Amino acid sequence: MTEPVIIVGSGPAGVSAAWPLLQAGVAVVMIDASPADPLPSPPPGDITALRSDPNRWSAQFGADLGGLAAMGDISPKLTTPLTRAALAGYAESIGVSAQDFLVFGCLSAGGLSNVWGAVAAVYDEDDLRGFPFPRSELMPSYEFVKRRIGVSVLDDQSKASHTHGPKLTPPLQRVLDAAGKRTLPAGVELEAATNAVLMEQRDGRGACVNCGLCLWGCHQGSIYASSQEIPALRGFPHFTHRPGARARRLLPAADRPGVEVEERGVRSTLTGQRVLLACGAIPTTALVLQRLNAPCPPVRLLTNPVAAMAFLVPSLVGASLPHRSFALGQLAYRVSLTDGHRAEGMLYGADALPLAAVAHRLPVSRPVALRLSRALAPALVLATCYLPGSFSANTIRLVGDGEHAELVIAGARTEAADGGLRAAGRTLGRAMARLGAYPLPGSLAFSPAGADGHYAGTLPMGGAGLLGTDLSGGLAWLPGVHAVDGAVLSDLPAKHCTLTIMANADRIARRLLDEGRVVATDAAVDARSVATKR
Amino acid sequence: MARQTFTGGDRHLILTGADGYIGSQLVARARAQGWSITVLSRRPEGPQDQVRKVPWVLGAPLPPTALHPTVPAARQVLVHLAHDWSDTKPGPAEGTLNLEGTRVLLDACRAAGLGRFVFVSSQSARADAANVYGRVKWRIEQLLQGDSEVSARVGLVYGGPPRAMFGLLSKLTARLPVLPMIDPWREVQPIHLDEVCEGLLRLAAGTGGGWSGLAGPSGLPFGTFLRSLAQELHGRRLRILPIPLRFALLACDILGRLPVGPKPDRERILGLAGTRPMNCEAHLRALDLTVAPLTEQLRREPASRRAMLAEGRALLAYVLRSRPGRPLLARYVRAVDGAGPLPLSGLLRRVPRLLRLVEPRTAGAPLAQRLALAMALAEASPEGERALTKGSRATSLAILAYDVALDVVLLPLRIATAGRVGRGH
Repeated sequence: MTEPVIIVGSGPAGVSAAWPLLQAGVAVVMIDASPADPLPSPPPGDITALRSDPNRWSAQFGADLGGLAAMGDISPKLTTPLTRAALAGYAESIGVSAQDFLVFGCLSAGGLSNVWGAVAAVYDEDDLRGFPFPRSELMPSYEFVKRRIGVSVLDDQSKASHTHGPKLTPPLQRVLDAAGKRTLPAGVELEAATNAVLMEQRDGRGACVNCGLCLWGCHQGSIYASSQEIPALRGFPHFTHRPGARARRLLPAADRPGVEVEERGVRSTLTGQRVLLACGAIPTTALVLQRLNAPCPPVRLLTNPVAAMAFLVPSLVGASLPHRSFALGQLAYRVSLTDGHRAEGMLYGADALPLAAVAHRLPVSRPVALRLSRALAPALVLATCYLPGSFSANTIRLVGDGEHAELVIAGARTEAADGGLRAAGRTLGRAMARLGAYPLPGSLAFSPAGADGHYAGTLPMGGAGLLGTDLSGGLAWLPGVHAVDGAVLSDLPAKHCTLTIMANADRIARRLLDEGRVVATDAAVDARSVATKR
Repeated sequence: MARQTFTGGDRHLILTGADGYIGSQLVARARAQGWSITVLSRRPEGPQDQVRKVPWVLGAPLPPTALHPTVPAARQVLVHLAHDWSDTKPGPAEGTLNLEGTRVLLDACRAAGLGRFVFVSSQSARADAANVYGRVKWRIEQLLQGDSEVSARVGLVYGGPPRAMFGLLSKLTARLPVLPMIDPWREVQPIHLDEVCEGLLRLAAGTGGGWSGLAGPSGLPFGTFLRSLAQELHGRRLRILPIPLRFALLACDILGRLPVGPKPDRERILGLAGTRPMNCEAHLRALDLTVAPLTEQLRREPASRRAMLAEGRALLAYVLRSRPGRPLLARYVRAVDGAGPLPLSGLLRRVPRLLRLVEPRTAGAPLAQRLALAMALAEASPEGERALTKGSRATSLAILAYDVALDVVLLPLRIATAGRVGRGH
């Protein structure tokens, strides 16, 4: 019987690589290091009900009130029980020590997609300039992934085309309306955001009802998480999911492709036709560096330097908070910088955020800050601003030998990064002011390296040297092993990378099938006709 | 005559001084640990009806009825805590009452074949101690012999009910803005009442003679101890005015002659002035007794929780501009998570809106952190939601404009106080 393909990781990349293989009848064993405890359930209801719920504190900070300690950090999202549980202990668990760098990750099935921002952006020609294949090779995969996970463009409130699905909140609606009437400054583009959020119920996931609780986790299941697809994958008879099995090391090149896994403290070896590494750029890099077992200079780790800023639509100050809301990205913008680079980002509303997140930054006394933030919340537009990964200067290296070696990440950004973010902020500010949303002075805040969570480019496709990979994410010195997650991105544009990571994993799987480098199992071929009807 | 029958297990504890600060706690702890107890007491009609009492006064021998009839004498222990505080006149006859009283009791215990005699002594026990108490304790210690008679030299005891020295210090640190103090740098070795009682019971159940130190293993200045009491138990900042010993004794004499006013105890002042470091780490190790850090223990005291509630009430009322409900208050205390109350003046606690004059501008200041906590919790509460949805849009915007303007006017004051309020020692 033909051996399976082993996929390490059940996050967006792993699941995306699994689909084409399973549909082609290839047996897949997917392992992940998910702990026995499931993640906490998101609160039910909507933001209006939550505001008047006497137990709101528990939904907001957790029964242990632990979220209070995370207040004032990078994002208010980090205070929610779901996010705290998802991210807890990750860096220690994978053995990373970070200097000036934030390491986010999640061991639970579905990985970081359990708490992601759901921006589903497609790289354009410009974004893919550094990639060693034409965009046309990626487009079918983008389309397949988008159909699979369900994406929606934010609805204009004035349109009644959908009763369900995310809708713009008042300040963003005004900005978009104004953008239709006024010319934006040169080099600035603005459009409704595309998110991995369902507008129609399907596959056991509900349609977005604009409950506004996105920050606390989507109880409807409208926001995509790759763990939602595991039941569908299990529908393939030649699919095996082994939760709680952690990849400890890759087998040497002399052996068949495989990994040594640890399951409930017991070690075993898992071999297959091929091993696809999809556990996230940092752990994937760790496994590869550990197997390389040779002196290696620090490897460049790409991230998007990120800043945040705030704008105000004055006519909405003091308005009552909307009963329904959508707390993910609502509008996407792009700003051309003078050096040919681009900054990109998302615009969000603030009405569904805990006020403390806004009040924290207001330079007045606390009782006034609380009331002022309530008055400002319906009128605020918050923006994230990302620079391309070329502005980051992080390094990752393995210190020590064997599997007890420690991964050390040093975070930094180039000297040009701060200037780039400031310039982007100024240009965006001018554009937003023209649209009636005025930048709040002093609101531009830089986040630490790694805060974006877009870790990429350590094993770049088409790259040179021992850590460069081929068009299938394969390493020349380790036959049969392919990285299929963010690690293999040849470049990291300013745009959100998740959808591209998924599309690329899909592309690699299809490429391996097309080239005959993976083969279907005998038993699976019979079952294929049943499973591929999806 | 005994008022109660014997209870408890196969170990019998006979106790003198059971009505005192340490004694009453020791009885409770011994009972919880299954000791059978008999209390020798001047006041057999005391409140501890649960305990078997036998009439006795210092100077009398061990009443035969004190002994448990079925427990072998070798498994019966006498812990001698009683001390006659009237016996303080310095001179050749100093301490006779205590010395002779103990001698009579000790002889009777030996005659009855008791398994163990634990004498509760003091860290100040020395032949040349500055006060009568220390010298008498030392002289009594000299009576003890062999492996079955042991002395426990107890350090500065705190915690539990506000009685004895702890009660006095707790009261002083709760009220006085400035405390005149001799030698505030003198090192003391505080130990919690529960730890003392546990140590005494372990000594009672153990073997070995000589003396054993029951005190904090490392010393800290007496001034620091007092400031910790003020902050952790009462949420106050205490200033200490160092005064010379001679001046303190003079003031003590003068106050003693006045018909009204406080009557500081010369003995206690001298006792403190004469405290010397006591190395008791090995003793604590031998008893397997852990002495927890002072602040950690103080934060478990009921007074500390009351101070936390007072702080929460003030900070939440300031942020909400209305009285916080009990659940919100309880959440505030829980969220602070045992970090202890901040020093806040009584005025600020009574009139929380005055916090606006002194609120720190830097987010890292302790008071600013607590206010951030209060604000987040207030927002996520029904009373917070009510406070934030009150009034029409026009009214609330007008109030906000006034509020922001007032904040601007008050800014110089806040800069001037620069986060001094609420900062610990």
